[in-house]
This record gives sequence, C-alpha cells and structure tokens, in this order.
Amino acid sequence: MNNSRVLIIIFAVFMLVTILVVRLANIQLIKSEEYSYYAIQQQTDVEKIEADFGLIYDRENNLLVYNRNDVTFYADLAMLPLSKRELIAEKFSKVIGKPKSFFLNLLKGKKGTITLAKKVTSEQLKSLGNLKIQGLYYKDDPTRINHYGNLASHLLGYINKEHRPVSGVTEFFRKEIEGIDGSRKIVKNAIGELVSIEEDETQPAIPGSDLVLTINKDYQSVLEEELRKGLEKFKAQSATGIIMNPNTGEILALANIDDYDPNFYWQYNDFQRRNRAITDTYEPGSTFKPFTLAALLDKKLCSPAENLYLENGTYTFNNVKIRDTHPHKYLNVSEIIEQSSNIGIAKLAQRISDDEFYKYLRGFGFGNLTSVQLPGEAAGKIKKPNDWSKISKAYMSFGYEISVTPLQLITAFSALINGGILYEPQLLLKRINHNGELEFEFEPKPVRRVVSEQTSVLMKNILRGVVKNGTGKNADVEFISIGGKTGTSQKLVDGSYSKAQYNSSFIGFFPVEDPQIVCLILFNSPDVGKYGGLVAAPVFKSVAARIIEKDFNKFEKYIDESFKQKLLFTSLEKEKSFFDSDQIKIKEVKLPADKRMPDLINCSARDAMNALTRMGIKYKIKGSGIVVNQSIEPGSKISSNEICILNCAEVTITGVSVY
Amino acid sequence: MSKSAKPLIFYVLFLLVIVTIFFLAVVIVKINYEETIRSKEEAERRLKNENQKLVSLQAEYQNVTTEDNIRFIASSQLGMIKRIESAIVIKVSKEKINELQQDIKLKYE
Repeated sequence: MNNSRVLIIIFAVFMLVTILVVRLANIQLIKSEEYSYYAIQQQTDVEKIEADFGLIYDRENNLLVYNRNDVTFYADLAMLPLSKRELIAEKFSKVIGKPKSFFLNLLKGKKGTITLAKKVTSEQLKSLGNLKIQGLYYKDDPTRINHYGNLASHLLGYINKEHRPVSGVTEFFRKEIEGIDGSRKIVKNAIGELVSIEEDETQPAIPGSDLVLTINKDYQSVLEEELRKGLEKFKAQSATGIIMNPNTGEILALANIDDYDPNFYWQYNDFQRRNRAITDTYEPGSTFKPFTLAALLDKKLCSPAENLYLENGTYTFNNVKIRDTHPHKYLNVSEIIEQSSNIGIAKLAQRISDDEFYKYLRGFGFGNLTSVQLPGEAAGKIKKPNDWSKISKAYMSFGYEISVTPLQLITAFSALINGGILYEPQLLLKRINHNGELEFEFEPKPVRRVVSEQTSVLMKNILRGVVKNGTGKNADVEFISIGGKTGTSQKLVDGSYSKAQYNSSFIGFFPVEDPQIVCLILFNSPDVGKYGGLVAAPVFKSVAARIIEKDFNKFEKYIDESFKQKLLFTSLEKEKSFFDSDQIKIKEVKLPADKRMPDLINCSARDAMNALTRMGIKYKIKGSGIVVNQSIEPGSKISSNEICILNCAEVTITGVSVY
Repeated sequence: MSKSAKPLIFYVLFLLVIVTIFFLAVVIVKINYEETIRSKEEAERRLKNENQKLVSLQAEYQNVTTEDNIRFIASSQLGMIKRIESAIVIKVSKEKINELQQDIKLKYE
C-alpha cells in the first residue's frame, strides 16, 4: 500500500516535472525567438536623441537665437490611477498657472493618451517635484528662443511645432544648423519607466553648427525702430529697409514692418511673416534713374554738364504723355537726376540701343536672383527687347515696366557706387561647428564689373547733388556727406496705375567719398506725404544719423572736424530744443501733510520716485530726467488704486551730476 | 544513506549557496548599474539644462549691458541726467584759500 502511494507520488512529481520540462523546452527552444521578439518589443525602445540646433549670433557676437530644453507632459489615462488625478491637477495648476479645473477636465477620460502640458520649462519641471505616478510621463520638447523677439525676425526665421526650420537663415542653412540626431536603446519596465540604457548602442547626437551673421544688432534695431516710427507717422501699409556694405555685399540689417515674433509665429499672418524685401517685387520708379544714367555715362552717350530741353513739364512721346512733377525748361544731365525729371531721363534713354540698355540692366542683376542666403527669393521681371513697345525704354528709364525686389535694387545700387562691381549679397559671416572649428568664413563674392570706376565716381557725385540740391534734401545729414536718390512710383492696382497708392522710397549711401553704408527705405502706400523725398528720405536721415552716432569710431574719419563736437551731443541738442534748459531749475519735492498728490513738475525723476514710494502711490515713469508732466493733478486726493504717470524729459543743468 | 552520499549532498548544497550568492551579487550589481545609468541620464539632462541656462543668461547679459539699456536705466530708474557742459573749473589761489580759512576760524572759534 505504502509502496503504491509512493509510486503514485513519484509518478505525479515525474509528470509535473516532465510537463514543466516540456513547457520550458517549448519556451526556451521552440518559441524562444518569438518570445524574445515580444519581450524586446515591450521592454526596449529605440529613442531618438534630438540634436540641438546651432546658435545664431550677429557680427558683434551678440547671441540672437538659442535653445531651451523644455518638456511636454503626457498622461496615459488607462494607466493613470483615479486617486492621483486630483493631485496632478493641483500641482500642474500651481506650476503652469492654469486653473485646476482645466487639468481635471483633461484628465477625466478613461482611455487614450492626452497631452497634459506643453513646453514645460526646466524651472517648472523642478517645481513640479518628483511626480512618479503610473501613466504620467514627459518627453523632451526643445524650444527655439529668439532673444530679441521681433528683431530681425525675417532674417532669422523659426522652428515650427514639428521641429522643422521655417524661413530665414534657419531654413536656408537647415542642413548645417540642425545637426545630426542620435539614438539610444532604453529598457523600460511594465509601466513605461526607464530602467536602463544600453550604453553600447547609444549614438550621441551631434549639435548643429553655430551661425555668425553679417547683420549688426544695433543697426537692425535702429532700422526697425525708424521704420516703425515712419510707418506710424506716414500711415503707410508696410515698410521695408535694408542696410548693406556696398564694398562687400554684406547685409548689415534687413527689416520689414509689420513683422512677427518668431517665438509666437503662429499668432501672425502670412503677410507679417513674409520676408517682403526678397519676395515682393515693385516698380522702383525714380530710384531706377541712376541705372539708366550710369549706362549712358558708361557708354559716353552723355556728359553731366550737357543741357537738355525739358518741354516745360509735359512731353508727348510716341503719343504718350510723359510728365514731370516739377516742370523745367532746361536742365543739365546732373540736374535731371537731382530734380528727378522723367522727361529728361526718357529723352536721354533714347540715345542707347535697346540691346545695350537691356545688357546693362541685366548686368546690374535685374531679372535675376541675387542668390542671397535666404529662401523664397523672387527674381523680378525685365522684358526682353523683342517684347518692348515703342515706349518701353522710356518708361523703363524712370523705373516703370520693370519690377525688382528691394534687395535687388540695393545690390545693384551698391555696384553703382562701389567702383562698378556687382557683389552677391551675403548674410553669413562665419559658421562654427560644435567643436569650435571654423567651417566657413565670409569672403566677398564679386559677380561682375557693371560700369567703369570713372562712371561710378561720376554717379556718386551726381547722387550727392540729389541730396545737396535736389529731391533728397530731407535725407541730408549735416556732419557727413550723403548721396542718394528718391523714388515715388504709382502702384499697379487691378491692372492700372493707382492715383492714390504709391511706393515711396529713398536709396542712399554715405560717406560719398568712400561709401561704407548703403541703405534703402521703402514705404508701401503712405497716406501722408506720398513722395519718397518727403516720406522715405527723412527716415533714411534718422537711420544714418543714429548709425553714425552708434558707430562713431568707424565714421569719425569722415566727419567734418567742426561737427564732431556737435555730433557727440546730437541727442542733447534735440532735447534742448524741446526743453529750454536755461529756464529750468530742479525743484525739491515737497511732501504734503495729508495724502494729496505732491507737485512733482521740475523735480528729478529720482526724487519723484522716492516721494511717491514713501507715500505709497503707484507710479509709472515715461522717459527720463526731469518730470515735465504728471497725470494726477498736484493737490488732488489719491485713491489707493490710482497710478500716477510721470512724463520725464532730459534737460541740461549746469553743475548737475552726470553719467 | 551511504557514507559517501553525505559529502556529495554537502558539495551540492555548497555549490548551490555559491551560485545563489553569485546570482545575488550579479543582480545587485545590475541594479546598481541601472541606478547609476539613470543618475547619469538625469545628471546629463541637468547639465544640458544648466548649459542652456548659461547661454540664455549670456544673451540676457549682452542685452542688459548694451549702451542703450544702461542709458535708459540710468535716466529712467536712477534719475541721472546728462551733462553737456564741461565742468566749471574755479581757480583760487593758495593765499586766498588761507585768507578764507582764517576768516572762517575767526568767525567760528
């Protein structure tokens, strides 16, 4: 009996072991590959290591664009315990700054994965603490930061939500700037938490190269500020400005107003995001006359002193009337440009053959891409001589029947004043890889000689005359020699030239004797002013004066000695005219006994601030120096929430401390 | 049980203990290794964040140290005023200073 029991037990154990062995053999030998495959699928994951985009600097090494390592939080609702949702909502509400109900609403489902919070910064992540909750996880979500917001937005471009470079140098140099993504094999546990990383199978990411651009942040901000002011003053639809070094083709600043903030690019429309300086073409009008004249002078078909009969302002040419804004009977060739006579230049243009004229214009780069390092450039339009009508050459001579981009115009204009050589406009000064090695360094790219050096010298002098004696007087800066040309062209609206909408422009350069800066200012449809000489020229003047003041060392040698001292105090002179310092004496603040508004006018901003702080009155200061106006009347009672706005102006007072 | 069976069981048990200890050691080392890898990963993330913060601070430093910004803060927040006239130099002879000092002494002593 005992033996039979033992035998049964032994048999049972044997069977059990046999089953286990069979099962084990099945798992380990027969289905080993299949199960290994599933295990690897479940436990391991190949994760992409996103390469950091390269940084972008201006030519003075000011950092313009960099990266921030944000994360995005996700919640797997099927795995997220119901008891923890309240806690998650509370924590996220505190840190992210959205109401708790917003997060509770997101977390109320039972299935699927939701995005709980996007672009959580490392500081916020730290504040969230150690949130180890099943089903809650985050992933890297790098953010590109344009440090100066709108500044140079059309040049810099942005990275969209899909991490793709869009627009500007970011898009043009995408291969260089975006680097090479890496990868790593990670081992996860059942709830998706990281257990380990397979170091042997990790391929590190290679960061993108840093770009040093040719632009100067100071020039760029001056240009943008002045265009913005001009846009408001002249009530224009939009404005474009470009500053370039005519001797190398380096773009020093480029701006289109309205613009956009690349950090919030989705809030702006296509027009605001488009780099209109290279994508939009327009008929340049009178700013084109210098090119016609340069071709004639280069071919020796006229001389600056030669006199021409100008038909008293109306000239019928091939049954078409050409008019001058200011009628003249006689002007010499230089004066034709100075006074911007359409009749004069149209008459002169008849001396050059169609083919020669076309050849010169193509030589200046019109109708071709400039090959600037930006995406989306338009080539403009220039008809071939075979397609010209009898009046085409006359119209083209003063900037109609031809369309150009602002960048094309300034590039061609540079050739006109730099000795006659057309340079390719460039934006990249240096490219440095992640190891700090120089990969690329700027070199000017001469395209071709367009006119002779002699013609270029003649043109510089004629263009100086435009600013000194002609239509560009409003662009003249007293302490440096400015040359340039105004332009006012009617806009083509629905196939015909509008009498209400104009492109008002000024293209100028300085110093005339050795051009260092060329600048184009273009206003689209200004309501006030209309003429380039009234609208764009004063803006050019402000830009030029401010650039010289900012870069005084560079321009010092070109400035008249008698003006040097004056220049140092340019801004102060402006203030003087606004506020006569001789009649101003700084007052001391007298605090009233009761809580009434003290009289702060003519008190220093610092004293006024001290007094208001002591009295517990909220304030805002506009401007600097001395209080010239206060929003709350002296002596009036002050309510606790009222804010006093103090307008200040800088005045000069003998014996006052200075900085 | 035969005499020779005892040492065999002893050897088997000893071997099992050794294998178990070895196995446990391997598991502990593996856990430690994984923990270290996770710490390294966290440290690398922190380093990257700190580096990026450093870069952003550099940008901010460049921004706040621009001449325009310094001038703006000096005038709007500190109430400093520009001076356009050079300092007035008052020339007084030593004799005159001595004379004035004597006068002051006479007056206040």
